[in-house]
Amino acid sequence: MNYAPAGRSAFQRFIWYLPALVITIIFAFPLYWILLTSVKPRALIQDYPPRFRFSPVWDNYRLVFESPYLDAIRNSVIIAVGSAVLSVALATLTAYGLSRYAFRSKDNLLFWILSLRMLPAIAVIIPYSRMVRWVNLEDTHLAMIMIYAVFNISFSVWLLKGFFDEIPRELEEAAIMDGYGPWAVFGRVALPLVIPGVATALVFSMILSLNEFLLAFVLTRTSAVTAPVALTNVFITTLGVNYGGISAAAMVLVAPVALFAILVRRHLIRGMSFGQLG
Amino acid sequence: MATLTLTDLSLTYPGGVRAVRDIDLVVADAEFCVVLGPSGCGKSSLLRLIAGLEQPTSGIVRLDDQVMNGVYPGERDIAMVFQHNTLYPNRTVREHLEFPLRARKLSSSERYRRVADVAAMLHMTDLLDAQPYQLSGGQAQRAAIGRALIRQPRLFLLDEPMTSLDASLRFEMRTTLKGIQSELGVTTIYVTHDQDEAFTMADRIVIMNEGSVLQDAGPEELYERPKNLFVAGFVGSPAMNLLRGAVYGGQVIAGGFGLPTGDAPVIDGQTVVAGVRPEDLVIGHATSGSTGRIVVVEPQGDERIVSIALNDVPEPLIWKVRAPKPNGSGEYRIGQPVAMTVRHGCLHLFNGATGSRII
Amino acid sequence: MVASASSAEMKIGSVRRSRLGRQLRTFPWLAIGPTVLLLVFLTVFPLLYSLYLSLHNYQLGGASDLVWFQNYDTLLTEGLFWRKLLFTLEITFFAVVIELGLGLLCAVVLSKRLPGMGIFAMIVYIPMMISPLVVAYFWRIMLDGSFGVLTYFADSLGFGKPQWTVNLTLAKVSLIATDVWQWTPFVTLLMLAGLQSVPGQLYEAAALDRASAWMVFTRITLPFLRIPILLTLLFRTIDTFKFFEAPYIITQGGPGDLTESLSLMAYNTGFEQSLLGMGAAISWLMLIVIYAIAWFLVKALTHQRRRAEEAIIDPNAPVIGASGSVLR
Repeated sequence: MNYAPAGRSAFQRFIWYLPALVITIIFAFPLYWILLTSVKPRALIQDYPPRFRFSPVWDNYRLVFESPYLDAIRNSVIIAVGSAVLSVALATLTAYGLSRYAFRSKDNLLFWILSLRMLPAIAVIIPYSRMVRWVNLEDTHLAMIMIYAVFNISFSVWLLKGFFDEIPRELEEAAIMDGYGPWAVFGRVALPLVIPGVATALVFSMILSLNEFLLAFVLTRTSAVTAPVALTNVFITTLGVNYGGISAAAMVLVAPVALFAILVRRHLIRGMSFGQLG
Repeated sequence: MATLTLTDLSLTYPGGVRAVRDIDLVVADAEFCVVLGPSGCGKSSLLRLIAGLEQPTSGIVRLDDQVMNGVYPGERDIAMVFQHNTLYPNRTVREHLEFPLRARKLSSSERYRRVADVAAMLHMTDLLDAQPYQLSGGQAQRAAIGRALIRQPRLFLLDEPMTSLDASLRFEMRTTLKGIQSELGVTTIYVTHDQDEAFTMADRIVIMNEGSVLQDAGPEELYERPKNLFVAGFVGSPAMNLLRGAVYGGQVIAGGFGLPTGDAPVIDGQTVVAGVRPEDLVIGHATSGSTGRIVVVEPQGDERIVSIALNDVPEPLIWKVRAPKPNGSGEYRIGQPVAMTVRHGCLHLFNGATGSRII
Repeated sequence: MVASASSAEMKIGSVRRSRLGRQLRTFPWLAIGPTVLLLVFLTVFPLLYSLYLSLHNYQLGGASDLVWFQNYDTLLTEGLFWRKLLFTLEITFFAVVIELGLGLLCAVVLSKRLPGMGIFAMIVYIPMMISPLVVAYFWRIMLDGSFGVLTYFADSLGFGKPQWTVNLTLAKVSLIATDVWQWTPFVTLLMLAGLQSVPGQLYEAAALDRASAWMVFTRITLPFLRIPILLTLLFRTIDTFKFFEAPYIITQGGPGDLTESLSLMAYNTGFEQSLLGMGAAISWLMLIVIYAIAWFLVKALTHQRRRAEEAIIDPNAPVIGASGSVLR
């Protein structure tokens, strides 16, 4: 909370609008420009000086939805949903187990799981490229779902463990005394109380999976190719690079994320309290 | 309805903290047993061991001669009420009362009947469809009690259930609880740090400190014949007046103040602690008995708690006396010199080294 | 069940004599086990396999010879790896520093809770949720040497048409700008949480003492920002260090190979040149650097967290007197 001490004028408070405005422009401009490019007629895109005024056309978007790019989007969604569900399901159980049950080397295990957040894709991409061939899963949805799940689990475990830690033990102990076994206690008592955490983990996992490039770039080719990868080749033809198409495809990928930001903006101002880390 | 037997029960935490030390205890069928002690004395740990929420480091827990070690808490047929609200946020009171019954797969009509019975017993019939956020603290705990008792358990455990309620509510709840307990005849173990609760409700009180049981007796015996110094000082409000000194010539002497030892089996030179309860002292005129000055007068309705300084060297020894309201000539005055005598047979003597009772 | 003398010696800590008791013992294994298995299979094993690969020399035909540490030797003695490392660190350093400052600024603005901040927050948080590949394309299009809009802006300001991908410095600036644009929102989130963790009473007390804004910031706010700053350093340094999409799309590693990040180098070596062993070796060296950075920063973090837990309000913190003097 910032209290304006006695003597501070309205000017000194509202002066903050200035950097706010500048920063908003800096962050909004690229979005604006690409949006503009996406509705620009192909002939005008490479004009110099760049055209700000023109009649918008929808050709680029039509191209996006009629080209193989649509299949790529479909693949991305399948993989994102699949990996999010897998990783959050595993993470929820794991986080609960780590939160409630004590055993030797538990702290080490937790630390190891959380440290996987740092793992760079580049470190495992070469072995993955060979491993998928061994099990005949090259260019498949299943492979990408499992791999993405692994990369998302760390964050989800961290998030959900925080939620589980907040639940008073007595709530579960009461259920235990009532005769509920550990699975029932988990499912009927603990899980319903962390639904917001589960939802958050799902959303973030999906966003991360949709946006990932390097792993998909190497491990998919045609049947499981994801949207970001398709973006790099669908719109490059013998006629040259179709920047309008790329812009439109990019906007299609940005749209759901922008929508999400609009819906949760009130939460964004509140900021996330990183309870465990801060 | 069962008998609980604890044999040599101990619990040592991984860090080395000994929460419960070699406790032997028997709680008879339908008895209301209160475990009383200061914070951190191990009473909650003991309760959790009985419930099965903690595993003992050694010792046996038996319910009706059935060994309970290694049995899952929910399968011991024990019910428990916790200190804080353990109601689920989105379920009605009725659903809470039904919760344990569902786990036992009873028919729907049977469930309904039992719920109605328990609600009536707890005066909660009109609250059956309320949600937890609509309930007051007392109502929530009653719901928790209802949820525990509806199972007709063999043993009923309560871990300081009234700590978060305010005073007037506690009074009412105590009576309700005691009433239900005797009506149902369920063996009950109640943990608290509040003496009033203990003395009001218990058939038997177990006093604990630092993991051990210090005395295990009925309320009267505990009050009138405390087995050791801790119990003597802990039980009773205001606390028993204590004097640590040496025996000499038939008296306990300390700092210029002496109390006759009567026919207690003590020898000269022995260190003892003498104790007299505030209500066993009589204030009289400053001619007979030990004399002192009044320093504080606390009015308590029909009584006065008068603090009397018995000597001045090096620091005054202050004893409290529970005295009736003075009749006629007016109030006790600060600075007034008075004499104090001990009622016959009301002196407690404890071994100066071990703290255990001599007479 | 009859009690026997040996019951007291029963295996303590085991609740296995009842049906649910057995469930209780198996539960942690079943809850955590599958995850651990998956993680070991898809992280530990591949890393070990990668190590194995890095000890071999692979050629286009697929044949391989065991060459032990020759790949590492080559990398560490020939200057190429070190140049890439330096370059990657250089970009990382500038990007993270700018993100720290800019992120803090944005967080401060957001914390003022002025009307209309909703839109500001919304715009500011979008970039970090977009795919880094898409962001790379954004900047590729804006920075194009012949039709890019940013090229145009620079031109109109009299700088000529900057060739962002030909001039090395400009190329570096482009990469830094891309990272800053995308990830400042993340830093803002962390900083905002830090700003909001300051107890309001401290500000009120400072207001009563009529402390200057600078004093308030440095003495009261900044200590509470230590942890968010360390978190920023931890996450952003490591994430930026791994950067791949931007150089791949915007500069293609050029001019020449001067803007080839370590990730890009590993990729090119391993896949474009099919030198799997060498590529694996590069990625392992990267891993070592990343974990070294992480190790230091996590140590600093746990140290700070312990300090924060021990004193909610630091009793040794200087007290600001009415005249602005610092009293102890």
